[in-house]
Amino acid sequence: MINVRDLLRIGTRQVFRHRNRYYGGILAIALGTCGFIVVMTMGRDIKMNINRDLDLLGGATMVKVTFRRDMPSCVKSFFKQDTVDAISRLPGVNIVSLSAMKNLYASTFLREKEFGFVLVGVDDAFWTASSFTPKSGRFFSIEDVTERRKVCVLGSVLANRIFGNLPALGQSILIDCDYYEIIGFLEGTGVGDMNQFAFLPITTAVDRIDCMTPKNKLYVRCRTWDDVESVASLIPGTVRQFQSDNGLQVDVARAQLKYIKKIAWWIQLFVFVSISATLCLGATGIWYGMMTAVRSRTREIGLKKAMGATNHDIMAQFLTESLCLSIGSTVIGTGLGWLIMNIIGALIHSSPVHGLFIASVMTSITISVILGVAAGYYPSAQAARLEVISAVRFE
Amino acid sequence: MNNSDCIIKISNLAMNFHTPAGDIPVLNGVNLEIHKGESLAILGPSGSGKSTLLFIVGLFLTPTAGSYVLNGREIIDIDEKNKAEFRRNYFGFVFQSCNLIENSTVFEDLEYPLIYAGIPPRERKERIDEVLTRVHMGHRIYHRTNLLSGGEQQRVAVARALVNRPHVILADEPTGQLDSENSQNIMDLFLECISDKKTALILVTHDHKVADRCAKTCYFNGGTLTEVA
Repeated sequence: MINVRDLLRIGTRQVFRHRNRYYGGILAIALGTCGFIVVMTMGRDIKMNINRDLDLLGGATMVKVTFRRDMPSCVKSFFKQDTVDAISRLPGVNIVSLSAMKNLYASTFLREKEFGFVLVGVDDAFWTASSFTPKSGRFFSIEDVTERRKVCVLGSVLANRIFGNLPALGQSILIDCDYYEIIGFLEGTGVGDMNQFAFLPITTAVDRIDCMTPKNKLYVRCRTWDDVESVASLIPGTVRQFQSDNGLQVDVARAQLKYIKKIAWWIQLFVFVSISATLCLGATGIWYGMMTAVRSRTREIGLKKAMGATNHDIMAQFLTESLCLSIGSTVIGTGLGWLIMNIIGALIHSSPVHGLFIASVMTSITISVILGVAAGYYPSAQAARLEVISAVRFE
Repeated sequence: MNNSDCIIKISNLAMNFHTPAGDIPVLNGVNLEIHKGESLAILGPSGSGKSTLLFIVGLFLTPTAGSYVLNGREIIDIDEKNKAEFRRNYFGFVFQSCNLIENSTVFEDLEYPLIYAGIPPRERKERIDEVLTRVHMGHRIYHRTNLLSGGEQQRVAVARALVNRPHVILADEPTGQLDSENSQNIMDLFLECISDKKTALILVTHDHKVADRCAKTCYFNGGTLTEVA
């Protein structure tokens, strides 16, 4: 029996010399592998970005946790910092934001006219958790919150109501006897009624504004829609570890979540069917190339048998060629996948998970071995079955 | 020649080709003995069964009846794997044309028999160098076979037949597509190769000049083999 080293050497040499025959199959398998690696490695990060975008339509991955204020026993309940920290460490949680709201309408005066509005105290994570971007100016930084700065973000509709066409950025606004500098404006898809609200850093609001509720509302942003149910189910137990959960209410947008999951399922199905189809196309390309090779190299097969090659030697040689093709294509696809993965990573500001990449490469190689054997077995068996006499005399 | 020198002994060999129209008898009671160092030319008209006999001797075909003893062992009913082993260890083949493997160099072509015989790489190189020197093709070792002339290609084919140090060289019209000068050169090579008295040559040809250079000539007619004096 021919040894493995010679088999590989001859196999790769033959594939290289007859490469024109296999370009289609190589390209298809390389693209399929590339798609597979990108989807497997970057899928979760892409999902997170899609989450963020889809949330603009309704916040399906947001879990809202509040202490009910309609129950007298928990009117003053608030989230302790330990509870907030523990929830932010739960698996599947991306970001947690704490907020409080003024019980009554706040108001301001400009040119002797009073304007009422809802006043909300939020932390620096609120904007990221809610996927908000400023229309102009900026949102609160961590320093604004920790140093209890007297700064304010206005919803754009409210700003327009108060200031009209006058420039408002950098102006001061009077709220509850204190002046606050306007540092940014909120507007955009998904903002909803909040473009009529005014926002203060939560620490400033709790310190300076009368009638603020306690810090009783948590916005918990999950990494993907797959994490929402598990995060929602873990929150009550986590809260109980640090404080009473009396009156705790966990809200999940289940209808939206179900709808998004359904869309995502179809998209995933489409992607995987496309990848599978591409890989099958590649395998068919290899099969066809190998069948052509067996026919065009019939005389070579006869000569080799005349030199003493056994049926197994011939079969092993053609199977090796098929495997070289499929594994070689996978290596090309892996390189391409790595490149695209890094480009996508740079675009969505995410770094690919090394372990996932290795796992997807290993899976790709396993698939390519299966494809190579599946595509090469029949042509190899045909080659091995050729009779020496008819092969040698083949013109 | 004594019996211990006998490599091939064929007795009452018959071969029928089965076709839908009925059996076609090709060989009918062929008897043949080949000894070490012997050269045999088989002549005969086209379709007389010369090549069929050669292919039976080379274990490409299984005869319908008769006995075939190779180096003292009856091999008429051996399986395909053993046939491959016998071909590897006992025979070197030279065909009429398209004898070399496409898209390969002379070295790669000559390496195949050695690979199948399990010869280690270092020894392969030595043997290839040695055999190419014998056929005066050492300078062409890394040349592509398709770039060689017809005569050179046939020299390489002879080298490949010899590289495994076979007991018998089987040549099916090896000079059929060569001019008379190249034909004589190839015959010189064959005779030089068997001059060690260890290797035998069986040659099928239409060319009487080629046949005349062999020690023994047989004529095929009507499915039987007759030795020509």
